[in-house]
Amino acid sequence: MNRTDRLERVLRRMEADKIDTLVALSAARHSMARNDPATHLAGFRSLGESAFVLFGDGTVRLIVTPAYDEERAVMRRPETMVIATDDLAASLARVLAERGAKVGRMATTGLGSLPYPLAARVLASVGADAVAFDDVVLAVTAPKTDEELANARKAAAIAERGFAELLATARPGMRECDLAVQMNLFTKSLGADDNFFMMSALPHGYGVAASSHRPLQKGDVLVGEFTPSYGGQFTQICRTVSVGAPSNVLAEKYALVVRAMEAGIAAVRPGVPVSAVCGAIDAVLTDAGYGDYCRPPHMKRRGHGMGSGSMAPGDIAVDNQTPLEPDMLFVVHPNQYLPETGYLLCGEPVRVTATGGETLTKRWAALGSIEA
Amino acid sequence: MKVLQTTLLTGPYDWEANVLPREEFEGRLARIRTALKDAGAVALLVHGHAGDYGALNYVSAFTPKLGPALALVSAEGDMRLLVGGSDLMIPQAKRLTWVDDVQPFANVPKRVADWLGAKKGGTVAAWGTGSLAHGIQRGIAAAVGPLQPMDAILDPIRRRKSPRELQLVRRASEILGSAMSSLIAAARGGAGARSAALAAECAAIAAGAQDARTLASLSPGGAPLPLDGPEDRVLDPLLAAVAVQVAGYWAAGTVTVSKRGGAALGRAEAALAAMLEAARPGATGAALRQAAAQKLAPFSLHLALNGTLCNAIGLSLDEGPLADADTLEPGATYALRVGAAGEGGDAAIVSAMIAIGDTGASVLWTSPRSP
Repeated sequence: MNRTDRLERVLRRMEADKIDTLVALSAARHSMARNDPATHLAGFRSLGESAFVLFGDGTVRLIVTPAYDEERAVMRRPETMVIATDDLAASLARVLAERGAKVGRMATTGLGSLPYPLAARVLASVGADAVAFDDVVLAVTAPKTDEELANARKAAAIAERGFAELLATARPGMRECDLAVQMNLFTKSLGADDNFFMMSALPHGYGVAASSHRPLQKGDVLVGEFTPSYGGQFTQICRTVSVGAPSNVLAEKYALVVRAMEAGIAAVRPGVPVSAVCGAIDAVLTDAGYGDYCRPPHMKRRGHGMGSGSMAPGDIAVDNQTPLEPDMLFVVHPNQYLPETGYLLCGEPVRVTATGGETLTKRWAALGSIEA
Repeated sequence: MKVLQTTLLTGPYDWEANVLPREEFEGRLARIRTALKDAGAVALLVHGHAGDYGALNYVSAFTPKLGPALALVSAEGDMRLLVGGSDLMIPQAKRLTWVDDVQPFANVPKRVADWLGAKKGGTVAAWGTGSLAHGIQRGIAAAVGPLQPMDAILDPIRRRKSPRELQLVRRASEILGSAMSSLIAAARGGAGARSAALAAECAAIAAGAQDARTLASLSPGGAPLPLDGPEDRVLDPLLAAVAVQVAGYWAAGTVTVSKRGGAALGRAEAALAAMLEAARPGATGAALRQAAAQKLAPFSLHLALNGTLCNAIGLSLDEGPLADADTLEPGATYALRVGAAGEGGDAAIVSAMIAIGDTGASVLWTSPRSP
């Protein structure tokens, strides 16, 4: 799939719903974990707020702020007509007027994320009765494009090298936050443009958190979500590291969560609901006697899609009935609290293929350790 | 300086009482509560998100790493923080603030209404809520009624820095100097724009910065922009912007690196020198602009400046632009910048960080003069 194919899918839904103009909006709060429909449809992460306008005839306009960001927008998306401005709402109103967009035949997506004064001005142009198209756009554009998948592969390779670097760099006494910053600089040196690197360590943790000033200590179990972005596509691997030689029970329980992850990945195939992937993970843990731990607060979700445009297919969770489609991309991670060890992370990025699932990593999660 | 928002802040953000003790925040809150009472407000909602959390950090020391956050400040004394993340993350969030009462942000309209309790129905003021997401604002307004923005009253209070704050801006400016030196050395040594920018970030972190952000030209003389692509071109002139943060406080600057010099760089440097000479308490934005314009002519202002030559800086990269009618305020710190664009990629931007005292301005950092 390429970007044109993605837009074709949206156009078909617009026609079916009698929508002539779709206005996708971005608040430029770029994140691995939030949907950003303008970024998703335009393939461009804006510096300031932006809009991507899709007309029923297939023509598009990308409106970016601030005006001086035009050079980057044109460089990244030479195929797209770019309008650079310092007043997004005014430029959007002008574009809609020039094209004769009719109130009552317009839809929006991403409006709720805009700063509210700007949202009010946008609403004045599109009409208060503009159809909210958020769910529709995400549903019909869930598969990644070839470009996004190529970027995801590069991001996965960077993530794996980042983990190797962490094993070589981390040592007791080092603050979590200093280690996290070093890892971000390292992944940036490999070409990453951002990194959702959630990492924390405790002897017995109940979750993973953003890094703090706490120094690593012998006996800690370090958990990390390495999530570099390449070309705007985030890709996540989840890993666990013992600070000092791991105990037998830690090694044993980590092997269990890896088996659960493998079962989840083995369940991936087109047509299967997302919930089946979660169910396969839960089954392994339940068989091992941890059925009571297969719900919050002992776990949150068994994986998720990855932005920065679309989080589709959403959370890997028992209540997500979204059928898997080829080229969907998500991380499968059991990420489970066990009473004997605390919270453990393992996870791999998976692409749905025509017949199953393909992991983008060369080496799957294995319990790491650093000297102490 | 506008930077591309990063997905997760990873540096050292835990509240450190030895750097900014609780009494610092109590003094701030006393000034804010006086303003609230003057405005007849019963409470204040202070908003921040990962891209701009200056006002929120001012009252709470809290940096919102995960999604938006709100500080609920009562005019009478109590205070609560609503922060992103699940219940499990609250202990980690508490490390970031001196505030004891920290709760999840989820279901925020109800949480705000519950906190207001008997105060509901009184005027609820707001600060930093101009960037609050439409969906969230709508929910809060439905639960507690319209919010009364007080940015115009509270921003000037925040702009006037305490001695501790001034010290932190000075430290950030020193690190900015180190980072810029690394960037310039790398670029002059033949590094591409991306590599030079990364050298600056590494130098800033090594010198003790909490965060460092860079922008650089994508073409010779082009506006400094996010380096979000694989290209790593050697450019002349290279325009690069660096922002460095220390304990929440930013210093930011822009340099022009060119082996061939160029008329634009000479004009820009002369214009910056004129602005620095004009900078003093009470000087207007118009006076600074006029001082710069006289030296820039016949060059036009570089597009990347967006027409703004000066903005206050501190807990936010931009604590407010200095409009023509505004004056430089004693106790505030500012980023000055000026740039010229001519023909054939002949372009330059240079800048300075200054602190305004009661009688004059002190330069905290300035772009090195071209050789």
